Amino acid sequence: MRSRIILLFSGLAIFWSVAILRAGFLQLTPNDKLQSLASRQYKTTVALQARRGAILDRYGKDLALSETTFSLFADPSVIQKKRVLARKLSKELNISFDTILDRVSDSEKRFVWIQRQMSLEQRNRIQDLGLKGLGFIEEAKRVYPNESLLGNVIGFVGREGQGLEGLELSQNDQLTKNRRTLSVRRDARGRPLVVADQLFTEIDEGADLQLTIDMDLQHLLENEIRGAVHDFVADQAFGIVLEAKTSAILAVAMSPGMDPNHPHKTAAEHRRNRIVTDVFEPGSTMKTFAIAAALRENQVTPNKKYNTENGKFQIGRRIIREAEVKHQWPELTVSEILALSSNIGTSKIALEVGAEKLRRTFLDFGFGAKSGVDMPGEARGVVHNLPWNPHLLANISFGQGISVNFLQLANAYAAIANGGVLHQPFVVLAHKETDRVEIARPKPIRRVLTTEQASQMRMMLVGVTGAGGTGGNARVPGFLVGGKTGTAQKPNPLGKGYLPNAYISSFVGFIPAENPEYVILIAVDHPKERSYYGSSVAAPIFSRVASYAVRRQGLSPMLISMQGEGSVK
Amino acid sequence: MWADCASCVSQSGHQRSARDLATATDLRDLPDPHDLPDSCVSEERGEALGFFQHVSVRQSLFKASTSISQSLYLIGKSLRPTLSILVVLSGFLGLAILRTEERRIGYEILDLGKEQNLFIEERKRKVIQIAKLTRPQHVENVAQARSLLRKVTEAQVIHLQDGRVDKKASQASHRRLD
Repeated sequence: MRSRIILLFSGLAIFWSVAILRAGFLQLTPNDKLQSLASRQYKTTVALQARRGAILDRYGKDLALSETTFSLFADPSVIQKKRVLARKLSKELNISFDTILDRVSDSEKRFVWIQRQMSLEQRNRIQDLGLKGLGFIEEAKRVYPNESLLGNVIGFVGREGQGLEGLELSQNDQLTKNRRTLSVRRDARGRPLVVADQLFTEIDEGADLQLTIDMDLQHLLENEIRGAVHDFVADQAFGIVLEAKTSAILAVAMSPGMDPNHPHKTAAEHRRNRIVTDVFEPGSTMKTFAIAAALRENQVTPNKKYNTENGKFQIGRRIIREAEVKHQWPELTVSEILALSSNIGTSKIALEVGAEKLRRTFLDFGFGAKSGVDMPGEARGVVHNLPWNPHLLANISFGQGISVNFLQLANAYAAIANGGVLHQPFVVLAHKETDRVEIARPKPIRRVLTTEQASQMRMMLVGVTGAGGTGGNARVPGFLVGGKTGTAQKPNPLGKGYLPNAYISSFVGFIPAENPEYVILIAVDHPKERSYYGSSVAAPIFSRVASYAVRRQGLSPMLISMQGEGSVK
Repeated sequence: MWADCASCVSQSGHQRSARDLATATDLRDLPDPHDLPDSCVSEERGEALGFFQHVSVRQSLFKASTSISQSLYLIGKSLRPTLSILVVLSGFLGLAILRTEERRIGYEILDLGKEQNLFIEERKRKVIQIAKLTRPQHVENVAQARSLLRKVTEAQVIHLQDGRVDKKASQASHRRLD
């Protein structure tokens, strides 16, 4: 008996010794697999959602915001009464019973989406149903409270919150921060244990983008642009307002536009920011730069006269004519060539300047190259390589055979308006983070005209809106306005030549001309009713926008003008 | 009041005066008053006897206190291990309470954090609502449809210069060139 007891105790002693030794071995020798298993039992990962930064206008008004939504998923493997669940959810979510039943019918699956991006109230209602096998995931949803206002410039994001178009795409890195995860200890019920210095309420946010856009001016411009498409039965219309001294973009409008809340309801070609992505032949608005080239080379003065050949000028075998057959001017000064938009006068000036210098001037004014604006998808435009034959040279001088984007054109006028310095246009005014603000400074690119030459150009452009000029409809009571009309034929996209009776009517100008604050471009693509001239389609829109802009800025008029008379200072 | 009593002093063998007796600090140095001879029963002796009775009380008190402190010392000595264990245990208990309190506060922070997140989200929703309500198109629609306001015409523009109506500028606004 005693020997049995001894045997039993010896056995137990050996068993426990082995167990203790094994426990000691496991505890003391490092083993990654076991450590990860152990840590999985008492650790949990808390994901801190990074919220996408907001987009604001220059006065801090919200253009794009993010809100938290709740996406409902199901685990079909644990759902017992699938028909009951489908019936209850279909009532709550307005999704058909069959659709929900179809999604949860496969019991092999562990995860299926039922509904994405629901509101807090919807989530609470579904939670109150007490259905098993359902869960929620928090997701950020982008909201554009102003709907289509500035939609093409802001762009939109995908369902996962990644920028797909516009500033949402180009500024994606600044707007987002990576989702941060914290590994913390948890209790038996899986709740994270709060440890000092780890607050789960500190949500990382991407930088807020403050734009140079003035939302009220933007609203007015969009209304005018939309109205132009409607009134003239046009294919599309565009508008830009730049700050003359810095090339900061104050408003950009295009119609048809896009509501970034529902981008898929808009045709793909209307989703992009066509102000920079599309190019067009500028027409007469380009004459300004042919004359600027001659001024740069000291080949002309505003009062120098040119023989304008009574409306018919032969270059080789081709004939250059004025825009209207009735325009048969024998001779015009340089100022008059600009004011009356003479094709022949401009061609003659360009022929004097020469292709190389004209091309150099165009390149210096930023044509044929990206302006560097902080918007995605900018097109360079086309300034043909040399050599140019005389006919091509003449055509290019009045804006045919060259293509530019609207922003390039407006920015080139800004260089004249601000005294001869070309700036890089920009739309992002500041990146605002919680601890720092990065403000964009105006970036001068190069001087393209001397102050004197720029002043002469401004004076000549004021003549365009003066008595007898083509831009009379662009005048703003009380203010001097400078600018240039354009009525460009639309090239045939399917072949050579131009489309019959298809024009882009435009006006680009600045106000007040003596000390320009704003550069405004208006372009209406293919107006089909009432008129197609830039002077009667685009210039009146310019006038209304410019009038609002100077009033908004609080600029006092400097002219007392009389009905039917010139202006008296 | 006190006079030297040679007989008393001689009988008690002390070489000190009664005043010395009164000021004596060490009770153990004093004779028991009942041991004093009868010759000391005089007026002065009576006073001395009263003094000795007083001293006797003090002496007995001293003895009692000595015995109490000795008893306490002994009790303390016997309880020392128990007390040590109690102190250690209460220390552990205190630590445990502190940890529990830490956990409790942690959960409280977690709940408050959730509540704060709800408020942050609520604020976000309000901001979005405000942005929707103040968008220019909406304001314009409300102004025209509800308040029956019309768009301002140039003739209605009044220009201010230094806080006063700029008549020249306003006049210029009212006249059109074309």
